[in-house]
Amino acid sequence: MPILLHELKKIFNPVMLVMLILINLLMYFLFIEFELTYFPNGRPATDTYRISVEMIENYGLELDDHEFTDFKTVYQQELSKADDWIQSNSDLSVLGVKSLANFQTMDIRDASFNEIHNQLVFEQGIDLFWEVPAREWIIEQREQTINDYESHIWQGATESQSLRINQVVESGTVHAIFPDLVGDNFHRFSQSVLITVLLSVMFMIAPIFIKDYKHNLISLQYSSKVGRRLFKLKLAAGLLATMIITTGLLIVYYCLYSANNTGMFLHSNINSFLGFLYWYDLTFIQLILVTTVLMYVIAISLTLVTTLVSRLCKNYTSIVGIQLPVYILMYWLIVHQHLLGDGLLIYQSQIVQGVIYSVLIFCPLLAIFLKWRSENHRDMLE
Amino acid sequence: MLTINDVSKKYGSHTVLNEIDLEFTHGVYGLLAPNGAGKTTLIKMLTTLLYPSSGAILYKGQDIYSMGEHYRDVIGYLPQQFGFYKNNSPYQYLHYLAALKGLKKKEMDQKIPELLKLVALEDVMKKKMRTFSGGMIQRVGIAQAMLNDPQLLILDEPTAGLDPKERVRFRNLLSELARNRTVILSTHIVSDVESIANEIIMIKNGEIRYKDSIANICSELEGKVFETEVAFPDVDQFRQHYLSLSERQDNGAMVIRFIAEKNADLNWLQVRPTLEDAFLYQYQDVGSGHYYADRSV
Repeated sequence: MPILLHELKKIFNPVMLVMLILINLLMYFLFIEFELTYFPNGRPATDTYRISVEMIENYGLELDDHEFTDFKTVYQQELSKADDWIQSNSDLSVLGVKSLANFQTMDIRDASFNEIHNQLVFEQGIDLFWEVPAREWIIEQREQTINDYESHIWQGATESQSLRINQVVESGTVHAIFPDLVGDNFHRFSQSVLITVLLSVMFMIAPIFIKDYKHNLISLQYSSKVGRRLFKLKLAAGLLATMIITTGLLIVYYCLYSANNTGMFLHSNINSFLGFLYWYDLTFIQLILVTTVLMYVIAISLTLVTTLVSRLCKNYTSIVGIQLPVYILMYWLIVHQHLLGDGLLIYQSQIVQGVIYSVLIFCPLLAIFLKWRSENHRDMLE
Repeated sequence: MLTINDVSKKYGSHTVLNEIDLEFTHGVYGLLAPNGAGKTTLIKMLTTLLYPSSGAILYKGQDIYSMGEHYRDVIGYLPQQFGFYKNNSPYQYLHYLAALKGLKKKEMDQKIPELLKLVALEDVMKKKMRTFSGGMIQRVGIAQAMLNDPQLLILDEPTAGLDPKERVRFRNLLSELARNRTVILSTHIVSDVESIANEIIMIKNGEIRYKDSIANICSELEGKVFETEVAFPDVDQFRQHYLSLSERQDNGAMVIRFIAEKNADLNWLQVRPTLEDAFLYQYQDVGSGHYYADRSV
């Protein structure tokens, strides 16, 4: 235990902690901040979000047929209000626009219409011009998407995907209220957070062995009572440090994420007519938990690789030379939706995900195991 | 106490140590050989950092590798280039190494100030080691080796890089520590061990050439070491005939200490052989320079 604490102290030395904060500030402003500052991102996303929140308040987590009828009634009322407003607008009356339907079908190339269109829709941002189409879109999604899924029109669906679609549609899960913009925002946010966490872990763990090697400490350490067991203790310290770093960063970033106000969707099923279909029936909070667990798994996998590289390399240049491609590969897998919650989307092959995770877990474990065995029997020439 | 039985160490086809047999009991053992002779390899095997290619090393009759941490618990080791974190104070550094040596917190708090006092570093125990001189660093090294109060203290080239004053100080410290334990001191500097070692071990061509007291080793050269004055023009010719051990200018001539089979000149003064004479004699064919030219002996 004292050795573990000493090793943790060495990992979390003040200089490294300052660097860790700087790295996170940089990564936050480069990647994460956008998903927090611009959510919902513009219009009609803001309107869809607002209406979705209203739906949760009025109808609960799902929109059943009866509630859908009510939603359509509200839509009609809003549409009437919009028509009334348009008819009362003198500028639009001059142009002969009598209803929202008229307004939407007018030729935008007409200079006088274009001018008033820009003014009402973009400059003044009159809500009805955004809200009513957003409601219309939701109705279309509720009607058409389910029909599309039922008819297996979804292009390129494999047999297992069709089965899953049927399952979601038949069970009624697809009626869940969970807009795509919330899921999409969370996926992009979690990608950026994982990229940051991995960089942080790599930076903090990489010196674990090489620092001692560079300071000629290996012979003293390995000839002390603890001897070659130090390898295991350092590995344990590295894993513990990774858990601390990951947990600390996740607490900070999830606290920041909470400002996105998506809490009302936490118990919604993520398979929704408003968004995407996934291979598993999870609620949003379950998706967050699964994503978090996967982040820990990936961070631990990278820690094993980093520890091994730190033990094998004799200088920092070679560590960077090996770690950089590993990090780039991880980055590629993350942004191509193979590693986190978005890897559970129906268009992602679960076999590929399984293979990727098997490689991520078992290859580093095997390599560490082999190194541990060789560590016990090899000459310490350092 | 510590027995080396028929130990060889090979790297591929290159044999560094060949069928070494040694036994260490209490006292100071000077492992004396030129650089590259295999001293560090032997030391690293004694500290379990290297495994022998063949043979066994036993401590109190048990194989040291099988004993594992029980063996390492009784050794103190100061490597040739011992490492430290420059931003650590000796106090922090010794705490870390004490943890590696399995000391309890209470033992550390008692032992570390004691040892820092012993090596005269108690006033700087909280200062960063980056500001320390080579001698101070070596003293920290000795302190760390003594943390677990070892029965077996193994020091590899401990005086390398120290100035003469620090070297003397180091020797005195070592004499004090050598009571009630075995000290194995590897060096290529004869004066480091001449005054404190009970026995000298010389390794040559991967084998033990001597393991004996200084007096016995020197007695082999008894009657063969002389000093004489040689005129400067004749020095080169003289060197070709005799193994010159040391040379100094005096009274307009060169005073040469040398080895010869018998007293062949009335002007030669027979002198008492020293360990350095024996060392130079043994390793005359190793390395380069005028010490090691072709000789009459």
